[in-house]
Amino acid sequence: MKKFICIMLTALMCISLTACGGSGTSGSTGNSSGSSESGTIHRDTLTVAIQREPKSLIPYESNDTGTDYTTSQVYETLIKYDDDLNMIPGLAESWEQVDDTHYRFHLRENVKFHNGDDFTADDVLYTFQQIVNSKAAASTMGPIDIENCKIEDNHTIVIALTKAYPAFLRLCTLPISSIVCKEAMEKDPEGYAKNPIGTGPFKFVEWVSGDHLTYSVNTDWWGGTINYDKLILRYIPEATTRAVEAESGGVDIAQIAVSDAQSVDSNNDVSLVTEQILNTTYLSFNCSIEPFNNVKVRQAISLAIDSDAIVKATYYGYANTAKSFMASSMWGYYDADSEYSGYNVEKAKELMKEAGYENGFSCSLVTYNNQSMAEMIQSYLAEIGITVTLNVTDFSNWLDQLVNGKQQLYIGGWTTASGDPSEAFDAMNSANFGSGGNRSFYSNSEADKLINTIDTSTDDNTRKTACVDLQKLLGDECVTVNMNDGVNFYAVSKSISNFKPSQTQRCDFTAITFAAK
Amino acid sequence: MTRYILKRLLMLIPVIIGVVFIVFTIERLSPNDPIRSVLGDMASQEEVDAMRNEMGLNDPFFVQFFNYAKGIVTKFDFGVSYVDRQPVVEMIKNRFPITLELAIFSTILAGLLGIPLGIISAVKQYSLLDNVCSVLALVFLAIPEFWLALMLIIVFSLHLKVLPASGWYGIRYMILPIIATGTGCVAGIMRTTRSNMLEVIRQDYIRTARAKGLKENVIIYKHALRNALIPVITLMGLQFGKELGGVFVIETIFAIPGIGKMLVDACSIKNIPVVQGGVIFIAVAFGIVNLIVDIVYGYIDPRIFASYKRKAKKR
Repeated sequence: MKKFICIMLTALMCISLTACGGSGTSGSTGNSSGSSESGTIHRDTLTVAIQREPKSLIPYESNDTGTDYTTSQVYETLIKYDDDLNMIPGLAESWEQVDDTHYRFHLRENVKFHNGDDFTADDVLYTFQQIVNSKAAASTMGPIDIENCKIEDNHTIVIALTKAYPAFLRLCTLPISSIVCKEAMEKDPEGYAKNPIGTGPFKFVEWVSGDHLTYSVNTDWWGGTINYDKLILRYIPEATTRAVEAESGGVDIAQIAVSDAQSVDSNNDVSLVTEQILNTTYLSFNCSIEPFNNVKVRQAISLAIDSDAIVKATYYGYANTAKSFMASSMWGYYDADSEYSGYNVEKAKELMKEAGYENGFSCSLVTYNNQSMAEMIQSYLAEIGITVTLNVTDFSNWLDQLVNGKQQLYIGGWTTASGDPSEAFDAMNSANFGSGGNRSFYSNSEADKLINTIDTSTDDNTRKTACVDLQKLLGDECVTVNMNDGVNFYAVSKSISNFKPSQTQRCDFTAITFAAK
Repeated sequence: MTRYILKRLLMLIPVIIGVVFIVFTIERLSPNDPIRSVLGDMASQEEVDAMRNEMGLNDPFFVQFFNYAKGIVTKFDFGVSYVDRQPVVEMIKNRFPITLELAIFSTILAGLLGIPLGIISAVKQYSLLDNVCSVLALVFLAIPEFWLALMLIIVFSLHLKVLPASGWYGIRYMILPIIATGTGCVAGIMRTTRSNMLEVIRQDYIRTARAKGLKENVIIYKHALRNALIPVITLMGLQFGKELGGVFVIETIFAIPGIGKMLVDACSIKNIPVVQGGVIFIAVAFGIVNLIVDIVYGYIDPRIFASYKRKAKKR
């Protein structure tokens, strides 16, 4: 017995020694600091807590927020956005539209990949060839005519499209269009997928799946100097834990949930940073089934819901009520101010009576991440006789219902990652039912015509007029009952300045400076 | 003994086959398209269909099952993650040691708290100390572990700032998750120890030991405890096996990259190979832990092995 206990204790001691070792990051904020010659504080490490892990380290292999967030540290796109969503040079110093279907990019010279290879037009053409063959990126990047894309010289390339698509330039800001290193990828594609190489401000070091990603600063980056040596993105799925880590100093920056915003705002050690993003949340319908195929029913529901009150209650004043299906900062946005967007229960009841539903009806509402909002909507609709059964489910089940048209009411959101109205209104095109993006199964020939104009007209004024007309139409048709403009929340240590979250949800960590503690 | 162990290992095989079949069937009966979840809502139906073909998901059910089982048996291949194409075996290999550490230390903590509380309660039966220990045990049992985890984070990480809120990078990071996981097991261990101690200290040989003038401490810890601990060790072993697969809440809250968190992440996006591989691994691990507990039980109580030998001789 004693021998047995001794053996067990020895084994436990050995295991505890391995635990003491502690691999990977300590997760703490910058361990040491010093001043550079110019007087700015320089630190070892910047640690950021993120909500989602990437699905791939190759940008065109996955089109999701987690992958975008992490790959955008290593790779760069031809075009970027400034703070006001104006297109600015990225890896392309300038560009021009040759004709309706051709765009010439003049590439930045003296840029190197992290392995020392020069960045040239070959890499751009190779990347677009991969995009066209990628399951995740092909349909997003527009109608690229890869056979007719042409390299004019080492730093000039013409990209061809199969048809006019004015959204194309804005699509070149998307992380899925980030440029990869042709030579490294062709030499060892499997190795590249585990050790990505880009031209970006950070070099990939490691990805401990389920835990963190580590990057080292690219000291040869063309975009300038960065005031620290290492960037760590820690994957912490639980929102409260991320907020606590930021508030306790465990991380420098954390993406947090709205439920933690007030707590962070009142903490003296961290600042709450909010950024409106290119996303709106809304209540919508399956417009292909009764009674939601009746416009009066949709209008009645819209009038029965006080969106301002819901947004104030669920976002504690940190978000604006959306006035359109598009995010308000997007090019082409218009506040239609429809007569059906206010709160008027009596008028709602009249419309229900005109539609033949004076006594109301029963229906279901599916959501995956907006339970409070759903409960408030349920109580508002009860006032006009609509009995709503809530179906709060997981993302996978929610998506399955929407793609297959099984929903009646649903709470959803639309993110326009490129900032272009074409991407926004894909969701209203009758050619895109279900998996194409039109989860409301809305069909209107006039809307389709306007969407076609937005998609194909190369004249900005014509496009803008079509955007305005379409938003007016959608407002009157009440395809969506708009709730809020999307907002991202961050808890940022007060020792940090110049943190720039972006409306596109990709954060710029390169300009960060540190205050002396 | 060897025959016994081999027999138990062989009995695991039908268990594993059953688990593989049940998990495989449930995943495929589930209505949602896993590829749609993985590729995201913006992927076109053609892209989803292409990936389904690539993954063999359009094959008949038994073809898929046969291919999967063949992969496990011939190459120990549990498939690759739909998300990042990492082999499931690699994922489990990387994450299991972390879950194992958490399970071991939380079981030890539960034992270190539960056994002394049980002894005190038994020795001082019906006293104030006994009542306090019982209440404490019930409190530990009643508190949901996710609530306890969040409270520990708020108190020790946010307000006191003495311990980190997440991660698994060293001893300091392990303290809160181990407390959150271990305290739930304390009640069961304490109550089992208490009831077994009460039974044992009423035995004749204890009375004889007292009559011979042995010190009370020696009687309790040398003579009574050893016999009372036998079922407790069984219980701890089962708790340990349960924790190997059941700490997903703790791992998610504390962002610990173990098997539990891997399964939670995989379930949320229907990453079927990872879910299948993880569940099968946990079933096997639980079976092996049970076997080890039975063997340890036999060493602690020599009567167990003696009875095996008698049965073997009779045959």
